[in-house]
Parts: sequence; C-alpha cells; structure tokens
Amino acid sequence: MEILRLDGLCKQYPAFRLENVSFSMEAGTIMGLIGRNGAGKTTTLKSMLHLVHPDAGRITICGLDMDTDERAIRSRIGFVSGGASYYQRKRLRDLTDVTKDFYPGWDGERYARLVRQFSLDENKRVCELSEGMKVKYQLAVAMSHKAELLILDEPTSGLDPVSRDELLDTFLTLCEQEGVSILFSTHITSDLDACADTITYIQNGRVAVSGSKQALTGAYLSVQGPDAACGAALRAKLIGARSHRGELDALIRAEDAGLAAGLAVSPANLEQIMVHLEREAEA
Amino acid sequence: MKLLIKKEWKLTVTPVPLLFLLLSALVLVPSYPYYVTFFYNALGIFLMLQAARENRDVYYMALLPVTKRDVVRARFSTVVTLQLLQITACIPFMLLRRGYAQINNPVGIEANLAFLGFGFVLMGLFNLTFLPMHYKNGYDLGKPFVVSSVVLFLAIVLLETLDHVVPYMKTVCESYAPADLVRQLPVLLGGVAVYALVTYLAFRTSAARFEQVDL
Repeated sequence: MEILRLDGLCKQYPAFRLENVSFSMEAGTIMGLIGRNGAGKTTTLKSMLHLVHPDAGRITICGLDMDTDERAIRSRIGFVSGGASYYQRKRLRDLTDVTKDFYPGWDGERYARLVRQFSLDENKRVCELSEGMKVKYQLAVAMSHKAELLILDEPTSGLDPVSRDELLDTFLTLCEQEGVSILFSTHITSDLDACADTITYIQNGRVAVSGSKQALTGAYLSVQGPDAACGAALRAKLIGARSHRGELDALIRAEDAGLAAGLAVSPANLEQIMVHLEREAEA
Repeated sequence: MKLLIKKEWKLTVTPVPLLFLLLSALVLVPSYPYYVTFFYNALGIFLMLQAARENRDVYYMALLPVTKRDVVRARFSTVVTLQLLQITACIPFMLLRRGYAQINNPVGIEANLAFLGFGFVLMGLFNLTFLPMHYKNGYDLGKPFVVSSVVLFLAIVLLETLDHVVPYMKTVCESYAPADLVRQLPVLLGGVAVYALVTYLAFRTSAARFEQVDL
C-alpha cells in the first residue's frame, strides 16, 4: 500500500525552482531523500506539508489528498526536524500537555513508555536537552499520536556518531515493530546506507533517481587506481572523475566494469554515487 | 479552536501584557493623557508576539492538525481578550478616582465612558494596522509596530484636540456627572461598534494574507 505519492510537484522561487518532483513510497518502509545542500529536499518536504504553497502538483498521504484533507493528514503524520525546536524555555511536560490535546488518538501509556525508553526527563526544559534528545522528544510525541508516516528533516545533523547510531536504531525499530513509514531527508548519506529501503535523489530541484537503494547502489561501481592505467574507452565512461597526484577516483556504470582492468573496482556507496553524480552535473 | 486558545494561554501569553493591564491605574493620576493606557496595551501585545516569534510559535502551530485560518483566529482571540481586559481593568480605577478627584483631567479627556469608547476606537486602529502588516509574512513585527504606533499617536493627538474644540466633547465628554455619563453612551457604543468592525476586517485581511505565506 502506498503511504505517500507526489505527482508533478512544482515550486518557483526567484533563484530556485522545484521542478516536476514525483515519487512514491510504500507503507512500512524507510525512504532516504538525498541531495546536496540547496538541492530542494527541504522545499519538497515543506511543499508536501503545505508549509509552502506548491505552484502545481498533487500530494497524496495515507490515501488522502493534501488539498482537501490537510487537517486529517496532519493528525496522521509526524514531522521531526533536527535542530528545530519550539518554546525552548518550556518544560517537556507543559509542552506535551498542550500538544497532546490536538490529537484525538493520543496514547498516553505509549508516550510514558517512549519517555522511559528514550530516557527523557519531562521536568527538563527543551533548551536543556541535547540535540539528539530533542529529536527523540519529537519522535516520542509523533509516535504517541500514532503517526503512520514520519517525515524527518535532517534529524541526525549535528549529532555525534554514537547518538546518530542510536537514532538510526530507533528508526529501524519503529519501522520493523510498529510498521511506521519514514521519509528521511539528509545529506549524511552514510545514515541511509544502514537503514533505507528506497532512495529519492534530488538534484537541482529535480528527481534524478527514485527507487530501491539496492538498485541504485548496484547500478554504479567505484573505480580507483593509477590514472595512467585508465584507457580511452574507460575514460569516456567515467562519471565525475577526479585525478590527483596520478590517482584516479571516479564512478562507472556497473555494465562498464569490464573496461576497468588494472584499476580497483568496488561497490559504490550512496555518498560516492552522490558526490560523483554532482561532480558530473557541474562539469 | 478551544485547543488553540488553551495553547495561546499556556504557551504564548507572557507576563508582560498581563502586567501592563495594571497600567489602567494611570487613570488615578490626576493630570495625565489617559489614552496612553491603550498604547501600553499595544506595547504589551507587541512584546508578547516578539516572544512568540523567538519561540518559533508559527512553526509549532503550522505542524499541528489545524488550518492557518484557525491559527490567526486564535491569535486574534488572544489580542481581543487582552484588550477587553485592559478596558475592564480601567473601570475599578475610574471608580476609585471619583473618590478623590476634585477637578477634571486638565491635560486630556476625563476618565469616563467616552474615554472607554474612544479607547475601543484606538485599539481597533491598532488591530487594523499592526496585525495585517504582521501577517504579510507572519514574521515582521518591528515595522508594523512603528506604523501602528504612529497611527495611535496621531489618533490620540486628534482626539485630544477635538476634546478641546468640539462643543459636545468639551462639555459632555469631559464630564462625569451621571446625566452626562448617559449622554456619553453613544460614544461608548459607537466605539465598541467601530472596534468590532475594524477588528473583524483586520482578521479577514490577516487570515487571507497568512494563507498565502510560505513558511
């Protein structure tokens, strides 16, 4: 079952354009939304949530149309943003006391359990929490109103590796045990290597790729080695090639692997794919 | 809507506009331009909205299952409540003043029903200028406050001037004799009507503008 579908989302700014963004995700999966800074990830998420007004396009979430069922959709999703928090001087208990009333399906027992599980102290003020704990608090609230789709905007940015690992583990647990769907925007692609099922890669306001992570990583190979060992046939196939001190670093399509004799060829990860495709686009 | 109002009073309303309600006691000063009380009310609302902006209140509300129109409606309900409380807070001090004041206020209008009526007009003018300008982007507060303060100041100067030149105002609106208080009722009721009308217009404009805002 589809939990999210975007069809032809467009948004024009004076210096940036989101152009015909379309993708969909299945319920119970984790999708990584990747792209460099300014590529349009946050604009896509904000358009989805109607925080900005798309110029064109259709947004369907949980089978409902965002244009006509915005309020119902908002009660079925949770938005978690790294670095963003509200009412910093308020205690978690007070903030939750106000927020919970907006959600008819609020599960107080579940909230209490998540507060214990995430080691949150409800008597603390928001500003007293670490960045990781702020994200966990937002997650606890979102999960307690039984959000079916979690939209996470850069939730791990600014976190140390241990906190990031803990959060990724939490996302996977939510997905596996609670059947929650997660749309996860980040430019830290290594986070997605660990947990994403599908990837949507946005480049200059357009969807460059949207599909399974396996298909994307399987489509490319990383090539490294002496520049001199790179023949003309292979050179024509290199993607986002860089050569320093006689050492070549590039990406090739998996079907071109046969041309890379004499060079080290290895499976490409998301970061390598993104970096080389961006470099190729700029060339 | 009830939930948003609860949210406003539990999270958004700061002590400042509530403390400024006590400035209704300025009518106890024997000689003072009493309309300034309503400027303090405006200042309290401005400072409260500044705190709300620093707390990213607009984003907090934007992610709740409510419409942008509801967000604006809740904010207007808070502002109107604070303004009605300011008027209400004036009444006991006005009655107290009657106990010792031997002369009418020499520098401006007397603290009576006409004063409250014109006070409603002043607060309506503030709502009409400040809030729709703020909701152009849901962020700007400084420029709207400067503009609305200038409007308030000019309106106060105009009202105080009329108080000295228009016969009805010079005689009836400067008095607190019971018979004159009855004759001031049209000013009070007219002030309430103007306040209600312009505040409604301000709400409609603000809601329409905020609907178009990209957060």
